[in-house]
Amino acid sequence: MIRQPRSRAIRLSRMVALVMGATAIGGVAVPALVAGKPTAGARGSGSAALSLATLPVPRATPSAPERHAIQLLMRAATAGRDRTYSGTQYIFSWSTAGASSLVVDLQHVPGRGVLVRRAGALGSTVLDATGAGALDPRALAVLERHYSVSVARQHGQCAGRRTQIVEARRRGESALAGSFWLDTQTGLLLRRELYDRTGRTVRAAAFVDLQLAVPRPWDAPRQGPWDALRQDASAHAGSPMQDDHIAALRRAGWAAPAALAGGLELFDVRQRDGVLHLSYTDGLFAVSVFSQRGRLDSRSVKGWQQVEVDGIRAWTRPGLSQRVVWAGDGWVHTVVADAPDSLVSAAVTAFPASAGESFADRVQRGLHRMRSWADPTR
Amino acid sequence: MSARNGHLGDLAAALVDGALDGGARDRALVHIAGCTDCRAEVDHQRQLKERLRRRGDPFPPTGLTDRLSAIGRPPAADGSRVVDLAGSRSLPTASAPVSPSMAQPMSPCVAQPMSTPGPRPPAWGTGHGPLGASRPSSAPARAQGSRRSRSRRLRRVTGGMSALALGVAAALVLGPLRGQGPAVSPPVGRYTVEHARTTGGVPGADVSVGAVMTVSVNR
Repeated sequence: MIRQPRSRAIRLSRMVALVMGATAIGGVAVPALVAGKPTAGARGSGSAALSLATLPVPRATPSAPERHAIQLLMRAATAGRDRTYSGTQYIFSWSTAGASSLVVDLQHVPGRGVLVRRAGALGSTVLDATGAGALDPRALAVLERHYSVSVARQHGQCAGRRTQIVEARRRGESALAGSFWLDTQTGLLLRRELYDRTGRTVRAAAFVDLQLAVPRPWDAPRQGPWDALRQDASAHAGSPMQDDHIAALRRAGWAAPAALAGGLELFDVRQRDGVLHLSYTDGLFAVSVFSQRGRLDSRSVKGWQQVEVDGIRAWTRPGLSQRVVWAGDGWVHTVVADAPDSLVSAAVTAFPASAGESFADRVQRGLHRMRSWADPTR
Repeated sequence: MSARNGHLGDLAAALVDGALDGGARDRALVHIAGCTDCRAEVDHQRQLKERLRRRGDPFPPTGLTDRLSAIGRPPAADGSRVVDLAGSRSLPTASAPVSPSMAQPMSPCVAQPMSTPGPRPPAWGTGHGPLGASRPSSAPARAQGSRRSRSRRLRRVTGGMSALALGVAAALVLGPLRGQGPAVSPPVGRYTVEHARTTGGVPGADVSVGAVMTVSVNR
């Protein structure tokens, strides 16, 4: 077939048009495709922000034994807030990062808060005026949703006191997830043990002695120790954000999933100094995620143990609370958790990781740059 | 089981096994909170127990065991055999026949002739469907036209793909690596305090941890 110059020119012009068209299509279609992929910051934003106050009621009406167990826990919550007590408590934690322990002396005066210090130490600190350390009824509502609770037949002993034992099992499972020893006389929570799905104890805390009084109050700082320390505590923690503020944060690209794997529900959101603090619970365990923009300064994790959490490079160090730091996509995240490894993994994998930006993200940015050349106003 | 020289001794294993009652357990835990040696021993015991737990023994499928046991044993008069797993013996019986395939000695694989491929399904997007087939033309002309249009379409697709690849490549080159922002050193100690204060009412949380951390952070 003889190719005519004219037809070649036409073919060439067709090809140029084709290339231009394809590029244009790419310029429009690829960003559209990329836009269709939810960004890390938008994960979980599809659902309305949840708070403990607005969470739905449990699916099934609890049975009479279950109601009794819940009532005992509620009584423990009230007792922890209203009772005067002092004593010595140990706390243990086991995780893949290692075992940690702490023995503390506590003094609680209703309406004033809890003073805590390392056993034998001189310094002390106040936690909260509302009775920190007491069970939170809102958390108990979440507990009821994810766990079935019952009262064990046998009574127990703790710190020389007779106790009733409330046991929690994940709904649909027979293995124990937690046990609570509650003082028969006062209702106070005296001992607690939490287990992972294999039955291993992951946390334990108990009073080794307890008095229902504060016989010798510790020396307090000079002026208004309780109030001053309480204010300091409040300033550190910030205040909870409302749902509309949380929605605005999500629109601005912050990751704030309403729920995580393992039944973790978002129940508290705070922001302070450019750090977003998300608190999750399944009713038994607690996980906090702190997010801030930037890249991880490697010096800050010097001496930490490098681990891989579901393929994500992270750093951890042993402690009573699990602490995991990782970074990616222009964010640095820190998990602090009183939970088994599985729930820590659930939190880590739900947030942008160090796998780096995706191919699609980079293409989208390049196309955006090309469009900005054509239209500088964009 | 007893404590030795002021240390846990054998009680470390009992503690890990959950064999201590409440009071003894509490005393043991308080002791190891302050005794490095005993804490290390308990950690060691826990790791050991965990390793054993993870090890587990793989159990082969029962059917596989039966077949392996049956290999090389003479079949019963009726061609069947049953395997006594307890004694690892083969007992001829008529009440427990096995399938003929199991009774036969294993034979090497025999290559089967490959089946002749059938007509190809129409390729997506090439126009070889009812619409193309309905075009009236002679067979040779149809074949030639089909080749031409296929060639044209191929060129278009190739051109389009090349252009798209060029566009993507250009975007990749032009899309700089995302600015990673300022270097951040997370104040993990403060975070631990805030975590304890926020989640202190959760049944599994330990608010005392945050309190003690507060003392450390403030110092």
